Amino acid sequence: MIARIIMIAYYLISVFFVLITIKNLLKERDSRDRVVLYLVTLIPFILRLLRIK
Amino acid sequence: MKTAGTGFKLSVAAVFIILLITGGWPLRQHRHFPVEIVCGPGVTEIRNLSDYLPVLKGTVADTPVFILSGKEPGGSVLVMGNTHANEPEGMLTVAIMVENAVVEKGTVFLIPFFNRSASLNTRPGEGYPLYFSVKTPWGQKRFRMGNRDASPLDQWPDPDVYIHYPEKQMLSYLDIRNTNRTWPGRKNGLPMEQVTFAAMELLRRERVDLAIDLHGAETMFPVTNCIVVPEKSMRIATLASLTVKSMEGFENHLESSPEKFRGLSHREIGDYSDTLPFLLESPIPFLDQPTGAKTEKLFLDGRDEFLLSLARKKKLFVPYDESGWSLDRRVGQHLSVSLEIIRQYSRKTPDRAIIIKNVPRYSDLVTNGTGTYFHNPAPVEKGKVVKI
Repeated sequence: MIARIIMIAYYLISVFFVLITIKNLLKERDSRDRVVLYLVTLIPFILRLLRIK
Repeated sequence: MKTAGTGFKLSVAAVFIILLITGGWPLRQHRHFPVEIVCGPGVTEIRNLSDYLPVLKGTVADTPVFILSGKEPGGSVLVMGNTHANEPEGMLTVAIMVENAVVEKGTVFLIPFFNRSASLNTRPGEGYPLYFSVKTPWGQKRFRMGNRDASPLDQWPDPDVYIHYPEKQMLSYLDIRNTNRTWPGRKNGLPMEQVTFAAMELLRRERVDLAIDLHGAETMFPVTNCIVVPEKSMRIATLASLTVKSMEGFENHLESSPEKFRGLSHREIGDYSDTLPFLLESPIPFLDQPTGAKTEKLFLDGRDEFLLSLARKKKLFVPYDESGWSLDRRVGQHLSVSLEIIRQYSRKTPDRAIIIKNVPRYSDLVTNGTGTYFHNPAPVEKGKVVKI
């Protein structure tokens, strides 16, 4: 039961991380490298949230 | 310096979305690809592991247990495959037994996908193929290639250090998802600990005499091509090893189960039950690090020029030559050694004998091919085909 709660908490943390990264991505105006970095960082979290990998 | 305008962001995001879809879709398909196993004439009942631990019911960790009961009462044996799903020889061995074995005396419990979550996991970072196919008389039969550990989709997060229950030994964090490190398990533990606990319950409740855990290991690893046993199983294992060498012409040496290495089936099953455990390792060239590309061909025929070069320098722990070490040989070894262990035990304890017929042996697999012993699920009635 506690393991399930921790797993759900990690999924919620991942959602939060994805949202703030997308927010930073939208705000970013100066650096193209940063935009690519944000997108690369998002990939594993999106794959996990979609329960693909 | 070029700025990151909306146009740039949209175009780069589109590229990443395409990458996500093209990369992610095959992984999703793999996770939902069913392997079909046809119940042979000997299957008398199908249960699930959750029948021994109800909390597993409805979860990915639950897995079918095929039961083959003979007309005459006798002893019993549990045979498990896919503890490590990147060593599918065990799963293929057990599946062949499900599809062909007929039990005359005693009871045989068969679990082809012991760590089902691991069989739904993938190993793309090392270039593993997602599937492999075996040629059968009726076409190609496809199987998922899995990973050593359960998928983090099913058990997550990992601890920083895995502390084994109940021995308190500190193991790698990854091993909390490795069902060959979580024996004897616990009822209220993480899913893989629950899987091994359920198996222990099966062994205890059914009073199983023998437990055979089927694995594979690298040719560069010393614990390969062998039977790993604790002291109480050593006599039966010795007789089995000598017999397969003299009667069937292949080596299978013995390794002693180390008392200080906790969590493994060959140690904990023996320590926490009356069952005699045996862990079989067949040599899998595909697993070795210094090979060429990890292709389906390498998995099936075991031929690799880099391993051949290492063999000539005596760096391998098996006699390796240009013929490689085919899947047929690996599965054949598992079948013969398993049958021999059962036969030797039955000779020693006739009142607990287990008599199994219609299971091919090493020479049958090498001559006819592994696929010869899989049946076409298409014409079989629905209740007789299990999709895992």
